[in-house]
Amino acid sequence: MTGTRFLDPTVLARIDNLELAARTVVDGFISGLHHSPYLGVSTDFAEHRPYMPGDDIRRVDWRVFGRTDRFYVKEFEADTNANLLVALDVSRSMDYGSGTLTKLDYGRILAASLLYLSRRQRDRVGLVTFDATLLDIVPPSAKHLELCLHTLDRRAAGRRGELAGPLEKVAEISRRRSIIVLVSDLYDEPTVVFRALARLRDRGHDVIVLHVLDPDELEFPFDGAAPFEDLETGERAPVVPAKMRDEYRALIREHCDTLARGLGQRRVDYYLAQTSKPVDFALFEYLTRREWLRLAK
Amino acid sequence: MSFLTPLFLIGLAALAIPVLLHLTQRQRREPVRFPSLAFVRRVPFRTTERRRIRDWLLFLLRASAIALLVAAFARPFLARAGFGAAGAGTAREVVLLLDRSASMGYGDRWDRALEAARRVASDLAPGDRLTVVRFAETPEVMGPATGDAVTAAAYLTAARPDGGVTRFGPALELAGDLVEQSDLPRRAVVLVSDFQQAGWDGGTDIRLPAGTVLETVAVGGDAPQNLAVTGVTLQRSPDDGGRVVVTARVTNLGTSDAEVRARLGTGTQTLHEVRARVTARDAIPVRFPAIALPPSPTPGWVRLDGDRLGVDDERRFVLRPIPRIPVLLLEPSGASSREVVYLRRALSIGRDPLIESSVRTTPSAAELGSAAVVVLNDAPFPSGEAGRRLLRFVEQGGGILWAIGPRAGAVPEAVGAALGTAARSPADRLTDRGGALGVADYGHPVFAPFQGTRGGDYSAVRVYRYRRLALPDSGRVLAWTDDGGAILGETRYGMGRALLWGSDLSNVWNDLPLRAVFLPTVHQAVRYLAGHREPPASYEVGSALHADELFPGADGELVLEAPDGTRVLIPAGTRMPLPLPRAGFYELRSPRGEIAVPVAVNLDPAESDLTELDRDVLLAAVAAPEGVTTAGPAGVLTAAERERRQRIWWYLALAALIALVAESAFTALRPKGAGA
Repeated sequence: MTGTRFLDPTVLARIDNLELAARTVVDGFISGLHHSPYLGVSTDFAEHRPYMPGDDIRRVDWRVFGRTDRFYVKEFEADTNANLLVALDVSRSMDYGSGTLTKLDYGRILAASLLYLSRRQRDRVGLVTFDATLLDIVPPSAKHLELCLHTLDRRAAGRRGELAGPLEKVAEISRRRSIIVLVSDLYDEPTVVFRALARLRDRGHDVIVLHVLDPDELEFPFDGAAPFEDLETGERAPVVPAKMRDEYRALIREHCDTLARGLGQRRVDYYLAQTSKPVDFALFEYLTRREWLRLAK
Repeated sequence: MSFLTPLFLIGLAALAIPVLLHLTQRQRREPVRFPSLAFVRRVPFRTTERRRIRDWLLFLLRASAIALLVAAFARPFLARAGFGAAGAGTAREVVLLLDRSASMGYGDRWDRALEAARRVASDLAPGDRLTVVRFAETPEVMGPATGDAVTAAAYLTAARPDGGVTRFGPALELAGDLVEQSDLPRRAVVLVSDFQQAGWDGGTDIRLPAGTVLETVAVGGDAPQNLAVTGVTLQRSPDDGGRVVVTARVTNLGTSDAEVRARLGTGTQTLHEVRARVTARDAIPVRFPAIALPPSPTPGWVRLDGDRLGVDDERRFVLRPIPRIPVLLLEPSGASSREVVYLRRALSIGRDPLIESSVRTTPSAAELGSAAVVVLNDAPFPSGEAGRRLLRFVEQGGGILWAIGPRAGAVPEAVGAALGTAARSPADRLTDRGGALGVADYGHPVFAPFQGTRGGDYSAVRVYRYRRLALPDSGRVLAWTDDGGAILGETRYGMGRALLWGSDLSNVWNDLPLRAVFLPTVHQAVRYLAGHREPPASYEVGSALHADELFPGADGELVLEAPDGTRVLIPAGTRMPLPLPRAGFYELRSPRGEIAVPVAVNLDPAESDLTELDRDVLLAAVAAPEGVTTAGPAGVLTAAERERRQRIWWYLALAALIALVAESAFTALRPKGAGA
């Protein structure tokens, strides 16, 4: 990656326009989440346009000619291989950030970038946000990028989060085979995560998990005894970080390792994204790894 | 170690600040918001971490700085004078005057006085000397001057309040003498007292030596409530075999009205009880029903219910039967009743003492033996053996009053040589309507009651005729007429005495029997001639007892037993006055107890008045302008003075400053990451 400059999260945080941020992030990316065959076959009507010389005469809409006595050809949406559905965790715990970006902000940009990138690949893009329930549902569509971005932009952190219920709903509404990207901090027991994602995987979805964590959550760098308050539950506990730091780190590492190992076994992509890393770097790193894995298969 | 402003020590609570700082080091008050405590809760929580002090040196520096500052503000000083006195470098002669009068027994005054006195003793610095003087009406040095606080404390332990009366004058005078004789450069007199106003008459000319520090320690200060029996009067009458009415004077010396219950009793028996109300700062007479007089001297008392000063709640007295003076009245034969009625009536009126007179013309030996006084009312001096017997009567201690009037005749030569003579021819003052009578010596017992401007007026007595007296060398003239003639004279003969009156007592040659002074003069004369001196019903503490008053003529050994059981043997032939230092009933008796009389001793009523003296008056009176200084009421040096001299606070503040500087330096030099 010599010569590659990644975007500083602080710079990214200054971009108010989420589309612009996403475009900035994915600008220069060559490959997306998958290879598009570009078959040019589609069943989704898009619009009529006047016939131009050179157009395939089979595309002339004769019914319109019969009514108007003019030649119009039918335009169709280009068909793609997959839908991309981003499931963004907007639970309260995502509203934490030791730097300029919270996990939610980071996940929001990450989701927008993926949506933008996928849309550039002519994928259908959709979005769901959830905490303990589904909050926003934007079904995958070729025309829903702006809606997805708008939904991402306005969605603030919600309440206490939960994975199982919302992901089950996602499984229900995603009838077509899709690429489902879960962006979450995954504060659930690994078994719960596995069970929820296995259900999606079993339905043929390609599931990607972007585990977003703040460096504080990984390193626990706090100094001095203080009461700690759980963002989701509001519970407080006296904590002496210096005394428990090592044990905490070991626990969170074990948690991440368990997730990576368990999800890998279930053929679910797992990527740990730290908010201290540039979003484009994270995206680049993940896509590169995904590409390498696909080639390895 | 004491503190001048101990309230500042509350600031020591600030020591908790560094403790809390250390124990809750960097603990934020605002909670740290964290995404999830799921993993935090899985880590075993150790509370010991917060209790552990990480940086002992920093903690000690901070804590010591606060403690030192607080201690400095509390202005500490050492109670022992040695610390501060060392700076002065001079030894002191200290005289401690400890008031032990009866009023010091009020409430806890004595305890506070002892505490103050012990403080003075403990303040002795090396080289100092302390003389302990206890005083009431008279000062008493408890022992030689000592520099040893233990010895001084022993002196104080031996001191007790007694029933004496406060007298500052003699004590201060003695203190002045003691410090004046001292060779030590510094001198101090510490007066520990309740400062009764009655103890200072203001007229005492006392000046402490120049340079002497007079300090006063007042242990009064409260608003005393005191009821006292300040007097008892006994009114005896020979009626019904002798009765007495006791009237007590009950005084309320407090500031609020009080109900009193006064009881009258003899020995251990209560006879009567009277309740009364006494307004504040007032006194009332409490009159008890008459009681029978005892046949012999008996102790009696009037008591109030006890209050905080119990020593003056009882007034003691001795009830005695009415004394009798047998008088043999010799009258001339043929005297008319008009001539003798005046003297007979005068002698018969006497009730206390009771004068028992018998009228004769010639005394027999037996009659003379039982008589105390022989009165010759214008009767001639008996001739022959009767005359000699009468002279012997006088010689052996009897008394004789001879009114030498118109019927008395010539004075026998032997009588004249012994008792004095009267001119045969009377001086006639009829031409100038009688001469005036002038008393030569109102100090004589006969005329003593008439002293003063409102006493008896003898100048109104008109003397028409009288015989000029010529007295022997042992005689003295007691009254003159205005022409210079001696009309009344006294002669001592042997152990007895004779009064010669150069006129009659029949309202013929003078009108004395018509004057108001006649009756008391006759009674006084009879008492004087009989040697009658009734002992007082009670004495006051500090007064002297003359055994002769109780046992006239007794020359054997006597024993005086004090209320506390101590006995004083009075050798035969020694009749020195005996001090009565305590209130209570004494007993004067013969060694074998054949005769015994009680002696009642009471507190001086002045001691009951607890009104406090303005000490400035006392200090101004005894402080010489050339250098006696006065100091406050707390030991040789006041706490403020001692603290000012020692200046311990300054050292503490300096130490606190050093600790703070060290703390700052240590904090600046230590690693940033270390918990502070």
